Amino acid sequence: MRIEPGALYVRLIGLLAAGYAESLLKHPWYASRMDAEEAAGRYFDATLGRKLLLTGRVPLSVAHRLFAALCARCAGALEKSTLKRRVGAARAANDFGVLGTIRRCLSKLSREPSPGSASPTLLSRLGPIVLAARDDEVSVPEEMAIWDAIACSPSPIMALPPGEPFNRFCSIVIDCIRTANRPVLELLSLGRPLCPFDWLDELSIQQVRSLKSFLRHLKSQDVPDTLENWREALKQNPVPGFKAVEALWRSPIGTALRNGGIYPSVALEQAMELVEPENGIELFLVQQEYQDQVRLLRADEVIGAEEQYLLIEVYAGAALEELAERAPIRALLRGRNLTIDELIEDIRERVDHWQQGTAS
Amino acid sequence: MSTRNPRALSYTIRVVLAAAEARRELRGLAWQRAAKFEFQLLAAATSELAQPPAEGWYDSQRQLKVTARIQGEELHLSVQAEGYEALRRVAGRSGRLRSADRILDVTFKFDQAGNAFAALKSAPDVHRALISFEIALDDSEQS
Repeated sequence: MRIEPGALYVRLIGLLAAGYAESLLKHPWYASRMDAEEAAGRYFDATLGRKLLLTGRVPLSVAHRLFAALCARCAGALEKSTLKRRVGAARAANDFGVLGTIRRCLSKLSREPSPGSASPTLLSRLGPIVLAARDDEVSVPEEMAIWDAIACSPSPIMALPPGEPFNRFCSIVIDCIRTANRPVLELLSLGRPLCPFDWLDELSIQQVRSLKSFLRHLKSQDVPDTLENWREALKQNPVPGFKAVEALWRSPIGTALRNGGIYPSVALEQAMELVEPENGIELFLVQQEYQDQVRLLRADEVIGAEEQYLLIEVYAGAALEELAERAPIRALLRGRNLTIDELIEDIRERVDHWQQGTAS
Repeated sequence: MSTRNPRALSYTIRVVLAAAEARRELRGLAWQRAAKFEFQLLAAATSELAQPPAEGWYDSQRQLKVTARIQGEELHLSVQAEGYEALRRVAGRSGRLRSADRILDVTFKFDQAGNAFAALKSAPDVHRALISFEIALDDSEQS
């Protein structure tokens, strides 16, 4: 299987235009300022094209993990490769073969750390990031975008068999997409008509989250935007960088927040699944463990026997439309007057509810 | 016996269901890409005065059959879905016939029985254009 970044890019943009035109490309908060094509490009730059910052707690990003997973799918020299930090400079790699190709591709990426990045500290504490293969290694940039991980990965790669290997890889991709989307969704979830592309580089994630609490306070009080109301809200919900309410009120972000009206941010959050990304690779269950856990879920009467069957078959790689035609699932769908999508949504909700119940 | 691990199970269920939905979406996209039928009349390609075969001819996937009949100054083109799979793909959808030389660019609609009809001018360049053409289904319609 060959990865053609150009073809993949065209396909991704096409997919965005086909499936997410209304929610992302023609979003009412910026549709008047740009056409869908420009919005698709800016959305791409803001998500998959954005370099992911490292923190003291996250010495490798999900982009690094994706890059490592893609490298491990390349037969030969990289098959048992690992990505890690290790003290000492990276050994000089040769310029031949697949490692040479990766090295040349990675060398085109910027190695300049972003402001606020923990990379310099991590570098001195844990050493540089290297892709270690059988008899060679390649130095990997501290900050990578998800797209960098895809574009610099080796080609061809092996197709994954259905079941655990495929699902495990998907868990990394899902983590990547959620992480990449998060800043855009955080801005959209403020509930004020801000164009996320304008503010991504202007506000830190902490500022956006603080602004969210600040705006929620205003909303809960059901008061208009006045300097006095803002003063009260800021007192209880400080926003980094804005000690005085006057500074926030007159700042570009303050002006933008005041001038656009208020929208139902809670509904938007729910629609966009604004949940904290998790470190999926550590949570993902191997097949046997998964089957045992699904049995326990059935024992707890969260799911029925047919749903247990469905969850186990989906893990093994069964197609949803094919499962909907199998006798036990077909009977279940008919009996409950549901489509397969509605059934899946219902299972998801019950499992989430059950998980929250066990956590509390 | 395993102990309950709700967080990991909930996460893994989310992943496998999302992966299954993504696989289905990819199959849907492949379906859309395949919503194109190519027709080649190799025998006629060498003929000076190309005449479409009276018995009709098929696209490369053998899902659609085209029959052409000359009626006075017109060339009547009938397109028929062959088999259930083809019928499911085209019934009720709009199609666009475009020849490789761009002489022909005609839109039409398949009925629920998978039949479509187009009346063209019976002229040598139109006959030649039928040597190589494609029918694309409208992407914006539900397949």
